[in-house]
Amino acid sequence: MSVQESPARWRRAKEIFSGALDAPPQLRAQFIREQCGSDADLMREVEELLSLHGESGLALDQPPPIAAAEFLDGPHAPWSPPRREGQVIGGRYRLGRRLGGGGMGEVHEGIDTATGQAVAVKMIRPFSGGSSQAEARFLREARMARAIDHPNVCRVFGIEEHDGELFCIMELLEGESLAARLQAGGTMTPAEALPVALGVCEGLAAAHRAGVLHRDLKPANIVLSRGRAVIIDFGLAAALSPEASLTPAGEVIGTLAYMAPEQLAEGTSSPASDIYALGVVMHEMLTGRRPHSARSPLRLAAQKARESHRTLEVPASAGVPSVWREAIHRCLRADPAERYPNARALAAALQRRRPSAGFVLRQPRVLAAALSLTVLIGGWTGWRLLQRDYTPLPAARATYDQAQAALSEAAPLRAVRLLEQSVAADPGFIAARCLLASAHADLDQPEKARDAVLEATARSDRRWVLGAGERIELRAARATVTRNFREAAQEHQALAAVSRGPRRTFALVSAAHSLDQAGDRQRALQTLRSAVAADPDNAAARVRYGSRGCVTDCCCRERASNPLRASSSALRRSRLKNQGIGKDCQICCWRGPRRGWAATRQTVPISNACWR
Amino acid sequence: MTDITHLMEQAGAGDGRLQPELFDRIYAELRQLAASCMRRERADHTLQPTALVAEAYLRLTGGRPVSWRSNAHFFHIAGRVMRQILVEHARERSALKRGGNLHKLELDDSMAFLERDPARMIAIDDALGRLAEIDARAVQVVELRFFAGLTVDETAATLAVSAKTVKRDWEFARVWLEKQLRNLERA
Repeated sequence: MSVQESPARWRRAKEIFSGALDAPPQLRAQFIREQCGSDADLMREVEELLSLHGESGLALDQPPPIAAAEFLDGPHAPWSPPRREGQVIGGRYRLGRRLGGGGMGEVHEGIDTATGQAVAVKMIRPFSGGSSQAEARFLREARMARAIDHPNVCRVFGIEEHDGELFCIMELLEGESLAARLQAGGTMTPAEALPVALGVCEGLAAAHRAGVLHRDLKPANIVLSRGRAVIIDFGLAAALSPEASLTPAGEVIGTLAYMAPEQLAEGTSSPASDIYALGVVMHEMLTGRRPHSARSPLRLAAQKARESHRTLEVPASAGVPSVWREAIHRCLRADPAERYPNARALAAALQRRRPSAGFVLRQPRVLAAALSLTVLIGGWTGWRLLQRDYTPLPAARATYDQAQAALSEAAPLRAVRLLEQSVAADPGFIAARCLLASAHADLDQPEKARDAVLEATARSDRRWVLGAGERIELRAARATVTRNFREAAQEHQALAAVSRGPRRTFALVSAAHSLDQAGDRQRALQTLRSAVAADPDNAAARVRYGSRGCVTDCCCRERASNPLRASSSALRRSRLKNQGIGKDCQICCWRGPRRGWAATRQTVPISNACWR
Repeated sequence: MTDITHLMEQAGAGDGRLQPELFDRIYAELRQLAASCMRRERADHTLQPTALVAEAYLRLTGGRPVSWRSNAHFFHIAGRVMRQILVEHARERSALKRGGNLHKLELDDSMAFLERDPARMIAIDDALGRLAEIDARAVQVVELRFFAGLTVDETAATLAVSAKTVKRDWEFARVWLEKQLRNLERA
């Protein structure tokens, strides 16, 4: 008799088994006896299972291994490491001994037969799926990387194709990688870490000036060679298939841990993502560990996704001086715009404050602050230029502006129509798609709203650099569509903080709208007031301000026994007295405060009429 | 990349049935990942399903946060898919050992990975097949924990049950399955 023969019996055995495990060990036998009663078979079964419970090494205890061993060694091995020594690549580079195999491909020592110079030759793994687009992009980036001539960046001499494989000919560096150094020697003192960090900053700055991003900066890609830190594999990461990161779990984490939230979440990279990676490297140099503690790739990805809207705190551990802590903290900001504007600024921050650790003087510190502010402003302008928002076609821009006005006047239907025209005129106009999503959300059309966001996301994926504003708009739209109104409000406010003119006003109005949807009328009203204060001529904000004033007002007037009459008399009054803002909108009383937004929609045209 | 998230959202919003299209996509992705990974690796390399599933997840969603329902759907299917891939291959291997079709295997180098003991994998699969008739949820727990490599909490979130329930299901299934395997060895 075995329990699997009847579901009822199985359930009974499971109950007793679980109960016995919960019971204190000394009472376990008694518990089983009581539960099984006269059913000796059941008792034997449960006892047997309980004895197995204590054992380790059961079939399910080890994850199923997927091993290549037997197969690859056998006569039918589909792949075997080819012997490459002695081969001549591109008619010029003779391969020597194999130096190692990194995440991307194996590296050989080589000789440039034309000059006799020693080089390193890296075999790039073939592109899977044969994506010619990816390959073209790789070649373009690699050629750009050749233009970087800097002591902190490993020189790339050329890219050669040989028998359908790509080889990257690079400077041969002697020394160990930072990863090996950290593994062997543990943490580094600030004095040891400083030249490494500064060297990497210089190298990054040079590369960014040349228009090349690293995208995969990590200790394994930093070589400590004769007292200088040299960044290797510039521009190679982008080009390689995503599978390049498919290795045992540890290495997946190894790569993910250095990726900035926007790289993970939106697949976009910018100089700021390289700075984020350097922040992680700095953290690791000083503390011996990475800022995220997750041990599985999934959890790491989840941690980063959660963190994308707030900032990671660097714990105040004893060995990390405040200069470093502040610098790391700033590199790791979730919002790329809040990180150092460029690698030079980071280097300046690390260097400038170094002497102040010894003798503290008030004045120089103020001076330093002023100086770093200058650097910041200068850098910020550069940064804005670098990640300028998309310039849509004029026709698309015009309808987009009209749609903004329509939304401000609480006419989402009209806005949808206009925005559809806008994206039809310029399909790559991401901001318009985001606004379209918000308009659909206003109209309670969640599917259409979601489609608009998905389309915006898909299109943003295809763009190399996304503007700072666009990125925020995308996040705001996502938050709105998923009904995270508080988050949406934060994003709109962030957008307002980096925008000027009508765009700023509209961002504030949108923030107020989101706050209102989140049920925070008070802050909604405050925000609208600041929009009016900032831009008194913008009628849109005034209309909202007026209507919002009334929504809040309505909350206090819930006791109105006949809202319809109350509101119509309010309307009459406001018309007569021409009081405009605020009072005229009392008409929304008749809809009741609970449906504030819907009421506003009804109200605005009337209120519009009465104060114009 | 996007349409898979879309599919996942759709599946998540529906009645919870496994969508064939989604299943096929995840199946293809995992298989291709495993194969291409193994082609590049050394012979002594062993890949954990957890890493494989995590990588597939990141590739399919582009690392974007998706709703927990969609996540649940993905892992649900991933567990099932991993089981199918491993067992299919074990069956092929065991056919090979008995002098089966060598040629077929040579052609299909996308399956250049295998577990060391195909018989054991097949036995686990058979036992799970019997278990499905009496305790379907326990089978899901095994698929998620063993084949997809989820933790107790992740499994609980995926199945929308408490962690305690998962623990009980897992502990009992673990010993029960072991007993089935030992009975088989003795027989």
